[in-house]
Amino acid sequence: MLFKLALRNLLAGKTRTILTLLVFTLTLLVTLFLRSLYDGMEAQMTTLRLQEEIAGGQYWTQGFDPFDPFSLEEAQATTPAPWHPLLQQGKLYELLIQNGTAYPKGRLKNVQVRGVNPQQTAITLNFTPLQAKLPPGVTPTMLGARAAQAWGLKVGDHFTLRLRSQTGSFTALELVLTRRFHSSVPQMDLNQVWLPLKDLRQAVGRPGQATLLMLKKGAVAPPALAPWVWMSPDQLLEDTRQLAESKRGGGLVLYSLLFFLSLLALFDSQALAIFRRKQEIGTLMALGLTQQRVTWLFTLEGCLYGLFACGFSLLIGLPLFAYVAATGLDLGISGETYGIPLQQVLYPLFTVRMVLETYASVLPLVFLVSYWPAAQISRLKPAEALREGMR
Amino acid sequence: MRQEPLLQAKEVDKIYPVGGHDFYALKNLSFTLNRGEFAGLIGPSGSGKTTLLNLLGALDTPNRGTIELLGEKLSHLSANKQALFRRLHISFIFQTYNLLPLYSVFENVELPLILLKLEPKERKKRVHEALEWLSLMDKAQAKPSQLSGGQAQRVAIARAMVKNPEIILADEPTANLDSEASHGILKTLRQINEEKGATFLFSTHDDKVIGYLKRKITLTDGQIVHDLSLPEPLKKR
Ligand SMILES: Nc1ncnc2c1ncn2[C@@H]1O[C@H](COP(=O)(O)OP(=O)(O)OP(=O)(O)O)[C@@H](O)[C@H]1O
Ligand SMILES: [Mg+2]
Repeated sequence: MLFKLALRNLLAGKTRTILTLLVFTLTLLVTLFLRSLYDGMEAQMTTLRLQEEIAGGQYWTQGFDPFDPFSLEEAQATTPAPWHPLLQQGKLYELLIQNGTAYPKGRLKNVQVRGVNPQQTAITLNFTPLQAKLPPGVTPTMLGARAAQAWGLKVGDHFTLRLRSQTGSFTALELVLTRRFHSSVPQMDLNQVWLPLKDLRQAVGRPGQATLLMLKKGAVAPPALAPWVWMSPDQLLEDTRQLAESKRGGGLVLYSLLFFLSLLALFDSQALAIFRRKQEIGTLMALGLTQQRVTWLFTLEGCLYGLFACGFSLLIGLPLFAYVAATGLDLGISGETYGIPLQQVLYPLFTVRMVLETYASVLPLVFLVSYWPAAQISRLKPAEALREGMR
Repeated sequence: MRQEPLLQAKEVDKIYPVGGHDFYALKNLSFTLNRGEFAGLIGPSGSGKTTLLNLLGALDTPNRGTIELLGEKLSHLSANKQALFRRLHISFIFQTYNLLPLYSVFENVELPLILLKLEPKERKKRVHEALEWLSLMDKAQAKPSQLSGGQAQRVAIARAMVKNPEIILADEPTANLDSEASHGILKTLRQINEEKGATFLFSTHDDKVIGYLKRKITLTDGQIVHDLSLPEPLKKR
């Protein structure tokens, strides 16, 4: 009976009800949309990094820190013999990383030099152009589109690379750009010079050595052997997760604000309704409803706002979001601008879990905001309610 | 049967704090209402009629004294027990009708029976019976906003009688009605009193109402100054 009455009261509502519902529904839609963007962004960054950088996980030499160029001086080791079959089966690929100085068009650039097996299949970037047959004395190199662009280099252009060998002496390589590749992961591109693994090893005098090993996705990771440390995809994705988390924090501020406004509107509606409907309250009490039940009636009415808003946001949101999730959003920018792994088109990610989580975090608040004003009714004597309702 | 006490007020005080001091809306008031009476509280505005009705109907509690209905001391009950008592035994008719605007006539009348948890079939039967008594059958599906004042008050009367309460308390039921509607309603109420044995207590300063009463209790400044029972109840008008 209470439910029916509450529902009627809500449905009979005029402009105020409609506005409150509208504000609520919009807030939910914006929240769902923003959250889907952040989720989609994280999912995309994760996928791209797994495809183009992380593969099925990596082994790092002890002491290797990708953010500390000095760590590269020590962080090399040979691949342990028990893993050689994996190398031959194409399940494990070596990567040697060195510091170097490039001189594109006469300018000086401090770079990371990455020696890679041109036939590697662990990541989706294609390094076979590093196998190009070139005259003796020149070494093929590949650059990411961003680096090549920044340095003004076209395919076929030459530039010099200076490296420090294991013994401490400097050597120089004459490089020719055989391919500009596209990677959505900036770390694979910016300030990276890619060389064939054997040429780099030879130039720096580190035969058989590598800095990290990439495990092909799906291959079983053998137990780590010193000085190699296993880095699972999860560990490697940690900073992406943190990045996404910090972006979400920004979103949280926005939709917390929106929710605050919606809840304020609801609170206002509730307080006003209780003030205006004293006569109805008194009548219900005179008919024999207890104060608690009248309180619940009004609480229920407020909660119905929340439920209706959830319903509307689903009704409007489902087709809209399904469409956006399918076609993607053209951001007009890409990760290049932000230095994060992203593509031009972002696919918002809607999961049942995210939607339910959103609703589940709102509804208790709706309940509180509905209950709070309604609780005042329990302090109202029936005679007072009727008397004040007459005015 | 006439002499069976239904409702008793004993030495009742009702105090409202007004501007820092205590205002006695009712002072040391005692009286008894027997089953089957058709009585009215009369007196000037502010004499305490509504205050007394509210106390008798367990809508409020006295500051002193006791109110007994069916041998139960209402003033000693918890708020919830009082609500239950109202639900079971007491009906109200208000000057302002107080129908639920979103409910149809039928639903308004049905509400007390829902609260009593009667079966839908039984409810329907009793609502129809009440609506017939008040010649409202053709309005069963109407909303209160579509009714005239007289019709609305008849719906309120149907709602009051439908649960066969021990007592119906009516606070100035005709104050908002024209003369014709008032007489119609008063006749019906007398009929309900005589044919169904329902006990009525009014509050009024309307001469039309006073003319129908079988007992007139005059209040002045929160005290009973006259209590007159007519030996020969009016049969017709
Ligand atoms: N809640 C209240 N607070 C303060 N004073 C009150 C309150 N309720 C009633 N009074 C006062 O108590 C007195 C009796 O009021 P009550 O409403 O019972 O009068 P009444 O006889 O019903 O008058 P009327 O014929 O105008 O309806 C009045 O003087 C009124 O001002
Ligand atoms: Mg009054």
